[in-house]
Amino acid sequence: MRTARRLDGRRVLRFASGLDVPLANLAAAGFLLVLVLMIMAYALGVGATALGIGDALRAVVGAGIGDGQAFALWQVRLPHILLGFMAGWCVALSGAMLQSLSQNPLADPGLLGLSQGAMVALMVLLVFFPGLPHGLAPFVALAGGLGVAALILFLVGWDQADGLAILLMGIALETTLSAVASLLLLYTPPETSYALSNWLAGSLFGASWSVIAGFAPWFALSLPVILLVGRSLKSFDLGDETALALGENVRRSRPAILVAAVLLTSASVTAVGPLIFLGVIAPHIADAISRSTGRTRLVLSALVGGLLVVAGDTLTRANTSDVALPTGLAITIIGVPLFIATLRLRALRTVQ
Amino acid sequence: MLAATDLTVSYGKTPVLSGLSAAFVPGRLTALVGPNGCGKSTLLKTLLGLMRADTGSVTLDGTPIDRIGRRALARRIAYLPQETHCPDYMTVGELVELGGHSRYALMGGPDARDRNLFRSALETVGLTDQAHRRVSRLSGGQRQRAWIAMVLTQDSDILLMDEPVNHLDMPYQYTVLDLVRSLTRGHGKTVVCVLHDLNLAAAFADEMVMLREGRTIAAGPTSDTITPETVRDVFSFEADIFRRHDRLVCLPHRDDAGSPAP
Amino acid sequence: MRGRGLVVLVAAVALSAAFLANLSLGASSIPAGKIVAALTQFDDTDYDHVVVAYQRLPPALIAIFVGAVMACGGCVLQGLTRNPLAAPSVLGVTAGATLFVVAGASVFGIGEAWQGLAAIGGGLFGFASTLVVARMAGLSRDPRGLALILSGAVVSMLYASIATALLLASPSRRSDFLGWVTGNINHVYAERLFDFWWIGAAGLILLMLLSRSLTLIALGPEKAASSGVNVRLVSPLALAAVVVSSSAAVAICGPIGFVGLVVPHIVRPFAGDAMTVALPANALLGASVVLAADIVARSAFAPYVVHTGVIMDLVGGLVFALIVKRFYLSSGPRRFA
Repeated sequence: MRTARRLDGRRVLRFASGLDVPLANLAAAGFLLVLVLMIMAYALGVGATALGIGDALRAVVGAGIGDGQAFALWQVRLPHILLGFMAGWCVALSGAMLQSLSQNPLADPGLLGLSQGAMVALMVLLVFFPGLPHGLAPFVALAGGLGVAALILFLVGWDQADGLAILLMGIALETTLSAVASLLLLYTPPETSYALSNWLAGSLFGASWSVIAGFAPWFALSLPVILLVGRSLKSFDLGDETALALGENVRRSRPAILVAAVLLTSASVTAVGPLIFLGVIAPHIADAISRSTGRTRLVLSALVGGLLVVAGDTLTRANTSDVALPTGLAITIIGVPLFIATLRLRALRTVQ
Repeated sequence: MLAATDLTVSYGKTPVLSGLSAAFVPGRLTALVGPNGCGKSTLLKTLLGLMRADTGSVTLDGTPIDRIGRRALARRIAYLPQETHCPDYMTVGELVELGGHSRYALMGGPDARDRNLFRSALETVGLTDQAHRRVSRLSGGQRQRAWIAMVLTQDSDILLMDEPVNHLDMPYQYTVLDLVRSLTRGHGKTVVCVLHDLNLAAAFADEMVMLREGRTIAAGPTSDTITPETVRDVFSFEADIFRRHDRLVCLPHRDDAGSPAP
Repeated sequence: MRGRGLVVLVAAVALSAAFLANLSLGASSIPAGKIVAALTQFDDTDYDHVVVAYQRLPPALIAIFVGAVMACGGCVLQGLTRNPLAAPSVLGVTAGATLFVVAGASVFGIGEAWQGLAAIGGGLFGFASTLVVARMAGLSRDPRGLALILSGAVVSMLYASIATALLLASPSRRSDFLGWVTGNINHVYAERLFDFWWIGAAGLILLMLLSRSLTLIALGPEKAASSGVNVRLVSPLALAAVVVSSSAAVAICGPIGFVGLVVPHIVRPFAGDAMTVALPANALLGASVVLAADIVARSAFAPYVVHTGVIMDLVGGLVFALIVKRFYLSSGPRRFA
C-alpha cells in the first residue's frame, strides 16, 4: 500500500493488488464519516425529553440516567438515528446505481415511482393479507418495485436516450401510485392508519429495534453490492456496446444491478416509507465534495444519503416538539432546491 | 483467425445479413466497404457478439465466439463503436485505464505491465501530455485518438473499428488511418475497419471485403478486389479505377445530367 | 363548423346527465323528477328537496366550477406553451395557490375572505417559480418543453410538501385543512364558492373574448402576429386569466389536479384547434368529468368517502403516462399543436 499517481496525475492510494483509490476521495469519505458521527452525537441530545448531548453520550458508554431519559435515549433517539442512517444509505446507493445504469443523472428511485410501487405492494399486503408473516414484507415490496421497473422498461425501453422523458413517465406513475396508496389507506384499521399515513410520507415515526433488526440484513447486503456493482458501473458510463466490448457482460449485469437497486429501495421503503429526491441529490452532493467513480462514488453517495436523513430527522425533531414532521417531507423540502441546482448544473454542462 | 460463416442477422423482421461469409487475414488491415445499409456495421457487431446471428457462426481460431466468455473475448477482440459516448467528467487517463477492464480482478487493478501498456498506448496515439485533460474538452481528432488508445490498452490481437474517421476533418482522417495502419505493420494487430469512403479504403486497406445487401460481393487483397466490375456490382455506378502515386483511386463517371451514371 | 358545434352540444348533454346523476346519487337515491322539482319549485317541507338544495347542490356547483375553470385553463396553457402536458396543476399554479392559502391561514391567521387573494397570489407565484426553474434548467434548448413540465412537477412537489409540513406543524389548523389540501369537494365549502365564483367566471369570460386571438397564437405566434394579433398583450392576459381563475378554484376546494390535463385531450380530436369551440366544450366536459369523479369518490369505495382530488390524481397520473408515451416516447416524431 503506497501513494502513487494515476495516468491523469491524480494522487491515489494504491494497494498491492493494483486497486487504487484517489486520496481526495478518501479524504472526502473521512470528512463525511466524521460529519455523520458528529451529527449523530448531536442528535442524541435532541428531542422532547430533557436529555442533553453530554448525558446522552455518557449514558451510551454506560453511565446511569433516569428511566424516562433511558427510554427516550434507547427506545426513541438511538433507533431513529440508526434507522435513518441505514435507510438514507440504501436509498442514496440505489439512486447512484440507477443513475449509472440508465446513464441519466436525474434518475431517482422515488421520482421513477419504484418506491411508490414498493409502498403500494406493502399496502396491498397489509390490507388484503394481514395474516401473512412480517418477514415477507421486504420481498413483497421488492415485487412492487420490480413491477414498476418492469412497467417503465416496457413503456420506455432500455435504449431510450431521453432521460427527461423517462423521468416524466416515472413522475406520472408516482402520482398514480400515491393516489392508489391513499385509497388503500381507507381500508386499513383506524388504529394503524395514523402510523401508516406517516409512513406513506416517509417517516422514522415507527423506528424501533425490531424494525432495525428486520432492516439490518438488507443494509448489510449493500456492502457486497457496492463491491460487485461498483466495478461494473465504471464501464457502463461508456455506453452499452463499449461496455460489452470491454468484457462487461451488460446483458447479465444490468438486470442484476437493477434488481439490487430496487431491492435496496424496497427494503428502506419497508422500514421508513418512500424518501423522494434523496437518491438523486445525494450522489450529486457527493460529486460536489469530491468527484469519484465506481465503488468510491457509491460509498460517498451512500454516506451523504445517511447524513442527510439523520440531519433532516434531527432538524424536524428539534423544531417541532409537539408533532413529528415526516422525514420524507423534510427531505423533499431540502431536496427540491438541490435537485433544481442539479438541473441547472446539467444545463450549464450541456452548453459547452 | 476471425471468420464468419454463412451469417444471417436481422433487425426484427428486416434481414440485414443474409448468408454472409468472410475471413479476416491476421496481421492485415481489412476494410469493409459497401453502400449505406449493406450491413457493414451489423457485421462488425455480430463479429463481436453484440448482435446475435439467426444462423451461421463467428469463430475465433475455430472456436465459436459465443462459447468464449465476454471477459475472455474482450482480451482477444477490441471494438471501437461509430458513436462513442464518454461522460463529461472522464479524463483521457481514466478512459485509457478502462481499456484493461477485462484483466482486473474483483479486488484488483492495473499491474505494472498494464501501466506500461497505458503509457505506450498514449505514446502511440501521441497524447502523452494530454492524459490529465477531460475527453470532452479535446478536439475531434484528439478524442478519436484517445479512444483508439483505450482500445489499444485492451491488448487484443484483433481490433474492430466502425467508421473511425467518420466525423473527422480530412487531415485528421489521414493521421488516424495512418495510425490504424501502423498498428498492423508495427504491432502485428489484425484490424477490421468499416469505411464508407471507397478512396480512403483503397488508400489504406491491405484487404477488402465488399458487401451489398448483406452478402459478400468480392473479397481479397485490395488491388485485386477493387475493379470497375466490383464497384458496379456493389455501388451500382460506373467508375474508373486507376493508380496515382502508387495508390488506387476510384473516380465515378458522370452522365450528362451531372449525377453519377446509374 | 356544424360538426364542431355538435361537440359543444354533446358536452352540454353530458354535463346535464352528470349533474343530474350527481344530485341523484348518494346515501339515498333521489329520482330525477324530484331533483328538477327541487330546483324549480323548492319546497322546504320536503326532506328530499332540502337534501338536494343544501347537501348536494353546493358540492355539485363547486365541481362544475372547478371542472370548467381547470379544463379551460389546461386547454389555453397547452395551446400557449404548445405542450401537451401543460395544465394548471402541472405548471405549479395549484400547488402555489395551495401553499399560500395554507401559509396564510396557519402562519398569518388570515380569514376566509382573504384566502382567495392569497390563492391568486400563490398561483401566480407558483407559475412564476416554474418558469424561473425551467429557464434555469435550460428551457431555451428544450424545444419539446420537457424541462418546463419537469420544473412544474418538482416545484409542485416542493410547495405541496411545504404546505403539508405547515399543516402538520400547526395542529389547530390541521383539522380544518387536512381534507381541503387533498382536493375535497364538500358542501362545507359552499361559502367559499359564493365568495370566489365571480373570479373564475370573469377569467372564463376574458378567455372567451380572447378565443379568436388565442387560436391563432396556438397555431404559431409569428403567424398570429402577422395576422394582426397583439401577441404581447393577449398571451400574458390569457395566462393571467388562467392562473387567477384556477387559483380561485383552489381557494374553494383545494387542489383538484389533472382535470386541466385530461379534458383538453379528450376534446381536441373533436373540437379541433378553434378555441371558440374548444373553450366551451372544455368547460362543459371538464365540469362533467369532475362531477363524475365526485360521484366515484363518494360511492365507489362505500362505506368510505374519498376526496375527489385523489380520484383525479389516479386518473390523471395514468393519462399523464399515456401522453408522455404518445408524444415523447413513440418512435416517429409527432407534432403537437
